[in-house]
This record gives sequence, structure tokens and C-alpha cells, in this order.
Amino acid sequence: MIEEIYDIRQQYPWRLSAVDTYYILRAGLAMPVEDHNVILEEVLDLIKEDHGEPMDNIRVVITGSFCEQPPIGMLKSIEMAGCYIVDDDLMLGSRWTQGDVDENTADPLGAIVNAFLTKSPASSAVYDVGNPKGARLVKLVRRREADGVIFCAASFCDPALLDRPELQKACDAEGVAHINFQFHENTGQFKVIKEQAGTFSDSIKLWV
Amino acid sequence: MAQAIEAIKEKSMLIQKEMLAELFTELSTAKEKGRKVVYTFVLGNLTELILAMDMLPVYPEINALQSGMRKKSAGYIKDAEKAGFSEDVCTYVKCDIGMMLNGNIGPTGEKLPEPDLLLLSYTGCFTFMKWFENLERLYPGVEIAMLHTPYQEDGRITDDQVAYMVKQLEEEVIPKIEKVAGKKLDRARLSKMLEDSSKAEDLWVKVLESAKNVPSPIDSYFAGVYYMGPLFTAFRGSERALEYYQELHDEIMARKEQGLLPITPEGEMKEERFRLVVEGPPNWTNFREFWKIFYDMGAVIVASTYTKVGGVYDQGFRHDPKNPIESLGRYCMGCYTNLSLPQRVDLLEKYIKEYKADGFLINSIKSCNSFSAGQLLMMREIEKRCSIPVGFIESDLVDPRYFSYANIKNRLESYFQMLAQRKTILAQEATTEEA
Ligand code: SF4
Ligand code: SF4
Repeated sequence: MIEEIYDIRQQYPWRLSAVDTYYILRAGLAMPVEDHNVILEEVLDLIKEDHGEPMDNIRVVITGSFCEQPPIGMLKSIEMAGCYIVDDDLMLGSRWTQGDVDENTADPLGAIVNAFLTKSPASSAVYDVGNPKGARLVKLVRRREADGVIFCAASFCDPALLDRPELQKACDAEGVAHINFQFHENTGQFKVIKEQAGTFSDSIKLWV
Repeated sequence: MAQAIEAIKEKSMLIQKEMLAELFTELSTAKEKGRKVVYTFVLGNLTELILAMDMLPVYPEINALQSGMRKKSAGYIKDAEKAGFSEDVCTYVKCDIGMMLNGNIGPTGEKLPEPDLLLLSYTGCFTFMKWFENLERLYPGVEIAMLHTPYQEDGRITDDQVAYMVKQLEEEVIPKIEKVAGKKLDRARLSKMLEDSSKAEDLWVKVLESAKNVPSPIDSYFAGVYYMGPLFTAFRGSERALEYYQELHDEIMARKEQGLLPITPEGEMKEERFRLVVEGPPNWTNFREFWKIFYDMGAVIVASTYTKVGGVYDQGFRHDPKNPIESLGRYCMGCYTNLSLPQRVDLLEKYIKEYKADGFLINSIKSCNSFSAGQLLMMREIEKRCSIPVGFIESDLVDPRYFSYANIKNRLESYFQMLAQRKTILAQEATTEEA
């Protein structure tokens, strides 16, 4: 269902903001999965219907926050600056495996291990030199028809920050625009981020 | 007599200097001579395994710290930042990558050979893995062997963890090393090396424990980082390392017997005013200046956790020639950076008590999350448990932008004043009690 929400948002991002999506997913970590599923069903029903008006926003993918989560204010600022966040690596807790774990097996533990090994989304926590993360990021950008990437990592997150140059290189090679923000545990001022995201959005609208 | 001791001291230094020069010469001719080169990390290294296969190790952290000491790191870091690396990440990684971008010229001015194998046997810090992922991109197609060392989350090494390490070593690491070396591991040779390691480790522990003496004959941090070199890097298991530690041990024991104080770059200390335990790595870019602030004030570091990153030998671990593979696994899991936070605090408390320390100081490294995480908690715990003054300074490993001499000196001076006041009060209390 989470993937379905993301798929609908890809086409109609104005129907559910990234911040609301985030709240909904995050709530799932604090309640029984059955109860959360009911909420997800309701959300799906809601966003399957057309409402809201599309705005002249660009579409971005956020990457680098797979572990330490950015402040909500930062996501809000990015959205308010004119960016639809059409995919992200936030809240991987509930999205760590893409697709289902094999249910028809006599070895359920093996199936879980296998799902983590073969179905993990690309992130800096995953070591897979055979399947370069830069190429996977570009592929995600293409699939979500995004206009650019926002690198958004905690300033203390070496794994995310050490992967960034390689990911940026892959974006440059494929002509994908990108911008970079870092946040701290107590980042509370988002004015600069909003301005920069706004400029990023304007430059894409103007030049792409 | 002091003259004679000075001469003996120089002998151990000389041996180490020769060992390093030989290693770098061997490295510079490795490719011509067909020697295989292994890049690997200090923390949890498998040096005996590499040497037993006649391969040559290169330790990127050592290159980074040497670049720091030779004032090259600022430029290297800048180049890595230009290539997109954030200002906030581990400066060892940036310094190393910057060095490679600039032709991979090692500490002796000669080009370091490219790796035939990246042997990732890191402990405690995930950054090591990202570091090697970056190296893999610089040397596409290079062979990689990875040993995943489980963290001592429960404060102990379990049988399952040992079995996991042995399985990885036997099934992944050794076969990969054999493949790159083009020959089988000679297990008898490995055992002999581990026997020599263990003898050198005995001597090293005696050197460390000489600092329990009042006054201490060594500075266990600033000089300790030189003393630990051969055992923590390319020489553990070699006869040369054993020779070095025998020499060092004899010198230090002689100094201890004569009640001599530590040797500093400006000669022998004349007075031991404060005995400190230090947590965290030192700063390398301004190492001499940093050390001088301490010895000018009569402060001696009697124990430090940094000299345990390549093995906590003083708590009993020795490489075991009878169980070579298991002991390599246990070694990796036992390094300081692989200990849980409560274990680290217990160790510090023990040091403070056993080494009769007057104070506890943390040098918090801006770009090393692995060391810095939890240091504030350590401070509070140590204050509570040991009731001694606790100091906190901040610097960086190899980024000179984060070494502010004036700030650090001011802080340390106030800290030493606090220690002096406390000593006076304690002395007064003792006199009153006696009366
Ligand atoms: S450094 Fe990054 S990946 Fe590691 S725990 Fe922190 S936020 Fe998570
Ligand atoms: S973060 Fe610290 S422990 Fe980790 S690689 Fe860098 S210097 Fe070493």
C-alpha cells in the first residue's frame, strides 16, 4: 500500500503533501501494523479521488536521510519553495524491502534475509559495488519523472556524505540537476534552505 | 648516567626509524619485485596474516596522520572537498583521498604502489567501509576481502561471535588472500608469527604499566603513539618488532628504576605536577605544540585509550599461536573502538584508579564520530565515579582549521589551575586529618 501511495503521488503529488505522507508513514512505527493498514487504506481511498490543484512546481527526489530523519520544517520548506517531493529515502524502517517477502516458504528467516539482501532500496547503508548506487538513483529519478535531486543528509552522517560525490557524479553524467543541504540535530532555521530550494526550483523551471 | 639512558633511548627510536624506512623502500619497489600490496586499516588489522603471505601492508590512516604531521593534510583535504566531499566528514578519509588525487605520494616522498587487495577488517566505525567503497571506485576491479567484526554490544565476546569470525576468516578472507598472493597460507609460519606477536605484546604491556610508577617514566599518549607504532601496524609478528619492544622495554625499565621522567622533544621533563588519563585521539597537524602545552605545565599522560585502538593488551589479550585463526578473530573484536560505551567507561575508571590520575581529559575530535559519540556521557560518569576534575577540549585529527592553539591553551591552563587548586585542598585536608 505504501508503494501504491508513492505511485499515486508520483502522478498527482498535490493530492497528498510529502509532509503528510511522512506523518502517515511515521505513525506506522508506533502502532500495530493491522491498525496502520486501516489508515493506509483510508489514505489510498482519499488520494485515488481527484482533489486539489496542480501547481507550477518542480519534482524532486530527496536522498541522504535514510537513517537520521530531517526536521519536518525542512521538508515543509522544500515543499513551500516549489518542489514536489516525489520520492525519498526517508523512513526506510518500514520500506526497507521493496516488494514482498516470500510467504510460501518453509524457511521464513531465510526469506527475510533474502529479501533484505536482494530487495533493499539503494542507500548508503547498503554495500553493493556491483550495483552502483549512482545509477540506481538516476533510474529512480527517471522512473518518478523527477526534475532534480536534493541531497539532504545529517551533517554527522559520514555514510551519506561519503557517498554523495559519487551520486553527484552520476547525476552530472546524466544531466540530472541537484542541490545539497545538510542539517544538524537542532536545525531550526529554514529560511536559507527555503531560499536555496526556491532558486533551485526557479532555475529548473527556467532552463529545463 | 642520564647521558647513557639518552643514548639507549635513541637506539629504540633508531630501530623504529630503520624499520619504517625499509618498509617504504620495499613498498616503492613492490611492483618491480612482484610483491603483492594490501591496503588495510589499523583498527582490527590482520597484519600477521598479510606478512605470513609475504604481502606488504599499507594503512591509509597512517598515511593520513603522516600527511597531517608533514603539514600536507590541509591541501589534500581541500582537494577532496573540491571533489565533493563534505566539510563535515572524517578528515582521515578526505586526507587519504586527497593524497591519492595528488599522485599517492607516501610519507617518504615516494609513490605508494596501487593495491592488489583491499582488506577491510575494520572495527567499530562504519566510516571504514565507506572509505573502502571510495577506494574501490579509485581502483576499479581491485580484489576485496571483507571481515565483518561484530560490535561488543553486550559488553562481552560471545562464542557465536567467535564462530562467526572464524567462519569468515576461513571461508572468505584467507581464500581471498591466498588467491591474490598466489599461494597457500603456511599455518606453521602464521603460528610462529603470533608467538612473536604475543612476546612483543608482553613487553608492550610492561612499557604501558611503567606509568603506574610515580613519577611516570613515560608519557603514555604523546610518546605512546610512537611506542605503539610497530605493534599496531606493519610489523606485528615480525622479529624486528620483537627486537624493538625488547629495546624499548629495557630503556624504560632503566628509566623507571632511576626515577627519571618522560622524554619530550625538548628533553627530559623535570617535574611531574599532574598525572592525567586522556580519552580520544591526538591532533596531528600541531602535534608538537599540543604536547608542549602539557609538558610545559608538568602534565604527564599516564594512560590513554588511544593507545588501545590497536588492541587492549593491558587487559589480558594476547595473540595465541595455538589457536591462530580464533585469536585473530578475538583480537579484532577486542580493540578499543569495538567496545561498548559502558565497557569504555569501566576501563577509564580503572585507569584513573590504577594509574593514580589527578584528572581526566577528553580531546574530542570534530570529524571522528566514532570516538566522539558518547564522550559527554563518559565525562559525567567519570566525574560521578572518580570525583576528579574532568576537562574537555576540541580539535581534529588532520584538519588544521579545527586546531585553535589559543583556545586549547586557554582551556588547558584553566584546567591545570583547577587541578592545582584541588591538589592544594587535598594536601591541606590530609594535614588536618593527620593533626
Ligand atoms: S552516521 Fe548516518 S547512518 Fe550512521 S547512525 Fe548516524 S545517521 Fe545513521
Ligand atoms: S571516523 Fe574516526 S574511527 Fe572512523 S575512520 Fe574516521 S578517524 Fe577512524
